Amino acid sequence: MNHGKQYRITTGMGLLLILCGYLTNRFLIVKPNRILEGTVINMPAVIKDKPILFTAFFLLLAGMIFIISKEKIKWYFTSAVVTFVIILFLYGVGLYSQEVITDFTQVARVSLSIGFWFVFLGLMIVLDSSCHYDGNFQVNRLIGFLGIILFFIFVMLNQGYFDQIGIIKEMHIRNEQYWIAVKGHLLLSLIASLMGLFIGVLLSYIGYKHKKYKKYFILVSNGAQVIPTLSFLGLLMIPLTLLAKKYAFLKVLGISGIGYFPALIVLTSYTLLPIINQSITGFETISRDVIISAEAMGMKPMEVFWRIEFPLALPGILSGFKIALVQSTANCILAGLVGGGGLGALLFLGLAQSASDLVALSALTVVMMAMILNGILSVVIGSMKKRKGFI
Amino acid sequence: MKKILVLIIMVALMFSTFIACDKEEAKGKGPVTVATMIDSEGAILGNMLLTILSENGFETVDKIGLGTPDILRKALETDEVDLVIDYTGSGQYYGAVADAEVWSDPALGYQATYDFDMETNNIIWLSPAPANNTEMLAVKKEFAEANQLKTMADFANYVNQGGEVMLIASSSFASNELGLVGYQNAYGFELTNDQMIVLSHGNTAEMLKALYDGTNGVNVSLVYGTDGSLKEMEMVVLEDPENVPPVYLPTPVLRGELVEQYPELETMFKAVFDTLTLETLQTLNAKVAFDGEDAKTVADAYLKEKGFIK
Repeated sequence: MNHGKQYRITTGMGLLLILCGYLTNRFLIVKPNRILEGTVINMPAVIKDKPILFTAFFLLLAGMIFIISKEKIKWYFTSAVVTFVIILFLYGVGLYSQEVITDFTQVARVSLSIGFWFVFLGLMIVLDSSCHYDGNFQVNRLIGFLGIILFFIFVMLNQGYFDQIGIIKEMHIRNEQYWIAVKGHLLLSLIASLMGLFIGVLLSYIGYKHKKYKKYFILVSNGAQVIPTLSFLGLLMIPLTLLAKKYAFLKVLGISGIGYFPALIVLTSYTLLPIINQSITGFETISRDVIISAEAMGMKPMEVFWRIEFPLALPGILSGFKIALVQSTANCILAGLVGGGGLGALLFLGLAQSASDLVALSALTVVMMAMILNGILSVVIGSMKKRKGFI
Repeated sequence: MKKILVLIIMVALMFSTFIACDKEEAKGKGPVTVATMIDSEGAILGNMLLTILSENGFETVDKIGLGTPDILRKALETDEVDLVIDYTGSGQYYGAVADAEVWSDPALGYQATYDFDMETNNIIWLSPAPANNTEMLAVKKEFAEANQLKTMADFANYVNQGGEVMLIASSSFASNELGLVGYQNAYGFELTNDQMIVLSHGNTAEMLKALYDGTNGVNVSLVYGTDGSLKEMEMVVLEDPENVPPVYLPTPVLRGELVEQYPELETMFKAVFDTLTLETLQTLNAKVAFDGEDAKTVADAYLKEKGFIK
């Protein structure tokens, strides 16, 4: 019951955010072009223009409040209602943006402003907390409903409902470039985290077996974290360039002072801290008795590692990997500055042109990517703990 | 056994990352790697170079928007990339030594940079575009008309008479002998620290936006000569008869080995770059930065319109 109450409060906060979005002056901005400030439109004006959709929207919201005030309601029903409202909301905004832009040149566009994001965020918070009501967190339900929302967003995107929205316009204009950036970003953060995983687990195992090395490994992984990302990239540039110049074969392998390689090294170094910390804890929590009995059964050290220690430490290792991966996804933005590609390149281009929609597009993509990766790994770790009956 | 297996997997994993960024060996001419800075003009000019190259049967590698100016320069010096867009006045920061008058003259400044880079780095500056993308000051049209500002001398007059000024500029411009300090010495005026907003970067799009919106009372802004937004935002660039800041002509810059291998490159690019005047570049930049069009589309449309490609 206490648990339910807590999420009642977060639901209230979500609704409050929606109200703020409603009351803010800046809901949408109709821009005559990419840079200049255009006409500011508030949410009531949009509702006046699309009464049916938004009446439905507010009726549903009112229903929501009613639902929350009642005790005995199935909460998946709430989640379903919120999902429907979110889809309706996006549909209404898309429809409005299509009608408000009359000249179909590429220049004019509708920018989503603070009010829109408030409402959207509020709805998401309500959806998230409605998945917590039943006592424990219903991950599958949240993922299911998010999937439905994503599906509808995809359909509406395909049907062109969002073509006049600034961030979508930016995406369409540089379609190919955008997807290359997404792919590059994902690949770079994944490879960096995997390399970090390998090195990190190796070091943690050595540190776990030979206690005297442990503090050095922790020192190194902490040290890497201390150097600011951008200066780290700058520091690497000169020695790597000299190396690549001296030994031609390194260049063939792709090692050079700029671009992909220094970004990979920096990202990998940053992943070491979460992975080493979590893995060492994972290894150290294994009971000595288990290992002693495994050895008594005649297992060789490698067998002990593969069949006992590694599986038992795996949830810890993976949660370290999860932190590392999410962190690399964010840090990877800086690769854009040193020729490593990824979404950072688009983000900095947006900053250079002071095109807020392009900045928003790249930043939102990074955020979504981090959230999806986080979600996937959370589910994997969760199911692993459940299956193993992990205490 | 398992140990060895793990070792093999690890090595394979590491190598796969290197191979992923390894280029395919091309058959035709090239490949030529084209890279630019992260900005509108770099994207347009870079795409022009790419199109011209592939029209002439070259294999190309697209590295447009590679990074910050110093990263780009480093990449060229270390043979990471073959062809970049750079600006003649930048030679002074790369190590070319010459007097201030040399940098303020288009031809002499080009020559100084050209000579320096060819001798020390075997890097060749091809024929530049006749468009000076230099650092200038701009004000809003109404403001210019109300205070009769046309040249920097008028502006100095306005400042000395106690007119209200709030300048937004980059820190490198504000403290540079060939920037604001030079302007102040040449025209005889002085701005105090509370008459300036100094940004750490040289992002004029942001400064122009502040000027346009009058954020924090900004009424004068640093701009670059070819900024696309100048016309659309109705800004007046203050004329500079004394030629204080160095001349920055956009130029294709190429590694020396490629010039030897493909001497035809020089004439190919010259024909196009000769047509890129200040006005033309302003218009093209506006299409990308202001209207939000794709840089490649804009570049190709221009080349087509001028008859360089079919």
